[in-house]
Amino acid sequence: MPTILVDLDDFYALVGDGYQPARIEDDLELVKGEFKGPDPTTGRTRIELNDTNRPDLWSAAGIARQIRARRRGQVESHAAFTAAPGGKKIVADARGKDVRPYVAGFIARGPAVTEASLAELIQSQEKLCDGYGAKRKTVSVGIYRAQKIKFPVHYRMVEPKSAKFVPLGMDDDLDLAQILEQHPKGREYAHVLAGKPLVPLLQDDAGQILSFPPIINSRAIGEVVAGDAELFVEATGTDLRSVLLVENILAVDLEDRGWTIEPMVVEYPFDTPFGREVRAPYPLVNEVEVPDADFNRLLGGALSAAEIAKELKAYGCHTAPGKAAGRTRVATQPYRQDYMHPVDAIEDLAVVVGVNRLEPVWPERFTPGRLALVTLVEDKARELMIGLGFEEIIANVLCSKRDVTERLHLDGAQVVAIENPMSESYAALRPTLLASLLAVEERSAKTAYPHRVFEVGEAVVRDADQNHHSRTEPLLGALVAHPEARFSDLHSVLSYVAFYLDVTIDLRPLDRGCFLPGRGAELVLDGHAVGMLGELHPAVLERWGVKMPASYLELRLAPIVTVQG
Amino acid sequence: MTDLADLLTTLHPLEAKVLRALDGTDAAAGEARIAELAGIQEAQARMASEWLLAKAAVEVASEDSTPFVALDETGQQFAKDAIPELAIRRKLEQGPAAMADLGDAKDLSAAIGALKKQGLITVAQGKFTLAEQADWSVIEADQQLVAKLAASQRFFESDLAAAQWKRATELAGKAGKASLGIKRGEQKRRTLQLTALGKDLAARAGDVADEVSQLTPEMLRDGSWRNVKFRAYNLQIPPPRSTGGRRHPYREFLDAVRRKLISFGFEEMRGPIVESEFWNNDALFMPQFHPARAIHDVYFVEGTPRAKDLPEPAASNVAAAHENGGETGSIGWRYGFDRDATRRLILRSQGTALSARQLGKLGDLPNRPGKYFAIARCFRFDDVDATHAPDFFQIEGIVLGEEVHLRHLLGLMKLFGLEIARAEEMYFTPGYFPFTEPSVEAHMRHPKIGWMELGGGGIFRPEVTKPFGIDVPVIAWGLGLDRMAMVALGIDDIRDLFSPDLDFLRSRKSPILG
Repeated sequence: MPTILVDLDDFYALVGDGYQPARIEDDLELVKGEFKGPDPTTGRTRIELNDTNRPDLWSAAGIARQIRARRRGQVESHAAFTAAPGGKKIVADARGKDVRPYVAGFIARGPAVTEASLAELIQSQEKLCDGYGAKRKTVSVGIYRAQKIKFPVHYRMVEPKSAKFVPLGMDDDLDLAQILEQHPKGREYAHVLAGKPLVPLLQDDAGQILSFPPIINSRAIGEVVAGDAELFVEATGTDLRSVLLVENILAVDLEDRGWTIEPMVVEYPFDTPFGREVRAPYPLVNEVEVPDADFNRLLGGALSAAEIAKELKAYGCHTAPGKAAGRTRVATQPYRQDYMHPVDAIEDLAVVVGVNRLEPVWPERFTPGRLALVTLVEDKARELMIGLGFEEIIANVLCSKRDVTERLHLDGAQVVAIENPMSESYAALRPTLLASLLAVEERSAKTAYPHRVFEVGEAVVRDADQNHHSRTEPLLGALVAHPEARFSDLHSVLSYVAFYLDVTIDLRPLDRGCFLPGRGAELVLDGHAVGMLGELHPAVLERWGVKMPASYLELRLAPIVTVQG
Repeated sequence: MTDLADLLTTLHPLEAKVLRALDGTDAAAGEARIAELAGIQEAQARMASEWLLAKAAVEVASEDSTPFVALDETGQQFAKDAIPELAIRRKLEQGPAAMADLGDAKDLSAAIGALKKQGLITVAQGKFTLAEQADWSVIEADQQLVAKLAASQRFFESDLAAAQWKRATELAGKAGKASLGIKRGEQKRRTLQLTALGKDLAARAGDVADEVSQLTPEMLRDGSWRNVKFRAYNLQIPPPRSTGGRRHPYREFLDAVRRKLISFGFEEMRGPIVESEFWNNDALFMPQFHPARAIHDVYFVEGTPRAKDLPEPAASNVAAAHENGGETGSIGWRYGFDRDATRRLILRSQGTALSARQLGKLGDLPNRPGKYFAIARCFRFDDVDATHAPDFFQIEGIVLGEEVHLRHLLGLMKLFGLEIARAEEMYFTPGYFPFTEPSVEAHMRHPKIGWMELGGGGIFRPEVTKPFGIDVPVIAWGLGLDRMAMVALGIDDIRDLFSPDLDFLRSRKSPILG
């Protein structure tokens, strides 16, 4: 979800026709944008864009284009897609297939770049590379001072030590390997090229280096400054459609700002999905064929075919009769490639009509509401515990490994741990509720005793027999702490709860570190272990800083569901 | 005018005893004396006197305060060991010593300064030596004073020799250790006497002390209750505090939401916390390159184990939907679907995983109408802070039906807003979720919070439903109610929803949610 900064005056001018909205929020609905107020450092306006499949909207020009389409109610066309290539070329390298196969570029001529428009251009470039290009992995963009370049440009694969140049932000010549190690951008993006013996290099016909894609531009040619009026805009990447889409978006943004686009052709020494000679900007086609009835069926609407066509046009979509009768072909512009299924066109219709113009209705059909069986047992257990005067706790499922092993005198055999924990404190899933309830005791020494607390909640236990190598266990855990707290307190609670849950639970001796030897019991239901009960070992209490005798009861609730059917 | 009879019926036996004690003596009396006269404990006399003062039955006859001196903890220590000056002398008696050898400087530097000034010690080449023929009598007298004061809790002027009282009060006025741990205090003393009202009450309070306060089984057995008088209670005395079994206030909130959803005809879904990427993401048509699936967004299970089984043909259908749309009518995401990665086990990151599982459970009747919901524990790779709990509950659900469309989703969200969230006003905006199209977000005005996001929803993409053989539209929705729960419970840190502090939990009220 990118957030972009726009200058409101610039943005309104891009919409044109004297645009001055009373409430910008309403029009931002067209682009699934949220108005986030001014940016404290730059004073520009922040707009968050929610649709990750619409990179064409990640700039002031893109948002303006979408708003303009509806205000004018017509589909705009851009010369960038129809203009003939001007003869300038890029020559690709066969060895790129194993590295970063694709490249595309065009020339833009127009009003000299200003500080503001340069900032805008850099922002577009960054949002496209980060958000759409997976942080430059699949697409990255470079912009250069075209007048310094002798065309054709060569997109070569070279050995990292074989070329050196002065990168942006530095004063000395570095070879490509050095750039990966020393330059901040090199370190940041080196992983994109990890394990590649050859790396990409853009050079002009005179051998001047333009850039080391997708890492960094050269300072000599790749540093656009205010006053430049002729730019070379290229993109490289691993997926040609994405590379072309990014070029298309940059081209229409510039064209909307008054620049003239001169398309360029890339010559590939191998076949691509778009042939061996591929122009950019490229008139990408993205269309779906929608059964007419589906528009109204999915939206619950009653629009005529003509109204649907009119509305879609006002969203910038082309419509035409489908190949089969009763169907409409809906096509996006070449700078949009987000139609995968007819429902995507139906959503465009909902957006341009405005979801608030659709009247909410309640679901008509009756269906019986019901709780899951295990929830019914959980609720029963909770009700019984509350009736016995226990206070309910909710704790987190994530915990530290130490809390459920060392600090309970238990081994970690049951613990499911996290491969990539954010912190040690939340590196495992609790296999028992004991640590959660001891945490209550640890924290509540100042609260008058007796303490009688319980939780009914989920824990996760390792289990090699299960599909997911673990079980999510709904448990009842109860703890009593007071000067006279004994095994019998909770034994009595257990027999009360078991009676009303209608199960017979037997005890057998249990030697577990958390309990005093000879004072722990395993709970048995139909021959299966379903929990534990015992007086907590003083050494465990000590580890939690608890100065009061305490007993603990834990009962698995899933087996009770099974027993009761 | 307070009615005398009323006062009499609520008179506590202790009050009656105090009134009679004061009535029987000519002089005003302090509480200690009252206790003696009434034959009760001093604490009881003090308590009953306060009640009677409040009722204007007694008044303060005299009040004075008497100064006293006492030792604090430092002084007690000095009494046991030695005051700093004497401690220095003891050290120096063993020979000249440098500052560092005299102990930790801060304590002693003031004492050393004082001793130098009085000419009791001299300094040469950084070493201190005892002065010859010095007069230590003042210091020794101070030590004796401290020792004496240690013998009792407080000393009034009359308890000490005049010189000692003078010296003690002088020292008590000094700052820090220079006071030798001697502190001044004031003991307040008062005497009480009956007012006119009190005299009237006392005259008629004769019987009160003989009233009974409690009915006993014996009285019922032998019928003696007929012959006793039960004292009327003072209703203004605060009762002892009760604690008892109680639902957790956050759970109570979630229970109320659950009850509502059941009443709307939703059936509950439950599922595993350790989930496969298949159910958590792939079945929901989130491409495997989606940024929210990366190592910095979800938790992976240690050792990255794989789910042993995935349901077929659903798993193959899902893979095809990603790669080229399969039979779903979509062109798909167009990438190579990783059939191993889809089995990787993670911690459930969204409740929608349960909705996906539900789609897989419909079996032979995939299109049967239904409404399903879950309140599911979810986990995301995030810093834990005031707005991010280590794990959290998501409230999600789906509605299947031949006739279901987007306006039903809007109606459902409106129902949730009005019935669950106390929305005063609502509107919708287009939204984006990878698994729904069209998608909307619902916004509402809450009476306490103001405008807030209620939740989001949409119609499941065919790429989500068709792999499970479902041909009818499926509405999917999710609600974000945590902020509302926090406001209801009066907390502003989300971690407090899971607080382990019993006092804190007992102090939280839970609103009654319709």
